[in-house]
Amino acid sequence: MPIILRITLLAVSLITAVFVFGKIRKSQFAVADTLYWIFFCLMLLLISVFPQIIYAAAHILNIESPANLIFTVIIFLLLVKLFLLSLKISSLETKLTRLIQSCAIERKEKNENSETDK
Amino acid sequence: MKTLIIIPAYNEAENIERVVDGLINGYPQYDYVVINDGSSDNTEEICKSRGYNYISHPVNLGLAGAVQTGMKYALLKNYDAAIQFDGDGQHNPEYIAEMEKLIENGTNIVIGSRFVTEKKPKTARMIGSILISSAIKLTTGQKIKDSTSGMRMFDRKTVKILAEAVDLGPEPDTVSLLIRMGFKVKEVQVTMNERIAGESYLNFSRSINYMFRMFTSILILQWFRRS
Repeated sequence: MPIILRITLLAVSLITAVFVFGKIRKSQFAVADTLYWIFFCLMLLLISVFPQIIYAAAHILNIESPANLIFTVIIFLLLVKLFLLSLKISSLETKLTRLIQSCAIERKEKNENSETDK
Repeated sequence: MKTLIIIPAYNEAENIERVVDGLINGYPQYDYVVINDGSSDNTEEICKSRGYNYISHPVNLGLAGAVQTGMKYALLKNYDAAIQFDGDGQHNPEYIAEMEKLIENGTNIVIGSRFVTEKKPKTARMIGSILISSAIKLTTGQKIKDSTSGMRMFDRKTVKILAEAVDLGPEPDTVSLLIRMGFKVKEVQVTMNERIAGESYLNFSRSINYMFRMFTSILILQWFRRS
């Protein structure tokens, strides 16, 4: 694996880690959500320091260039994150809808009650 | 000293009357509030018809959200202390008085612990608790014997922080963080009951997930969090 790729992976993992920890420090990022990114950083770190893991995996999977395997792995991880985000958004939309409807009906009931009080 | 008992309840229709009646009849000196966390069963109807003091979420938020709503209510109503109390009957109110005394003497957080004088059993079920206690000991130096106990009392200062913080749930990693920030935490020996009715939230995979998150949060993430 070209050394430049390894250095890039190392740099990216460190920069991402700095960003994530910075956000945690400012309490802008809930701890539970950060776990994925920390795992991602650790993974990149591991690969850049121990490329032997990728060489071995590439050999087993019959992939010619180890760099291709790294890209595939990263793409896979991104797809996972995308899927999890879709789930989260879907859940949020449901909650928002319920909340809006609950609010609206409460407001209506309040208006009806103040009408009957008159 | 005015203490508020916060009772988070999600689908506890089978337990809630027993728990609240127990408090009203046996311990009327304490105020309580049931936080109905968007239950899909008739927990809310029961609270309404029995005239209980309750707050209802239109949507489910989870335990952290429910407890925080209780904390906001405690802050609003100017309570001296607030205690997290299970809606399924596992906690016993007889120990509240002892916990109150510690708060009065300056402790910030009092944990109702099953293992102060009783030994913690070394079973599979306790592995999580043992691991989390070790993580807390490692990072704060303090030995919390029942780290996963949900029976926790907080003083006024802590209630305000918990009510307003974005990421401080009623979990052992919060306790660990607060210890590191200088808060005084003590444990009081209590007994707890097994769940009688309804379903617990924790199954095997959720327990593993929980332990993993707590571990990472206590050992790694809390170093980056500031007050």
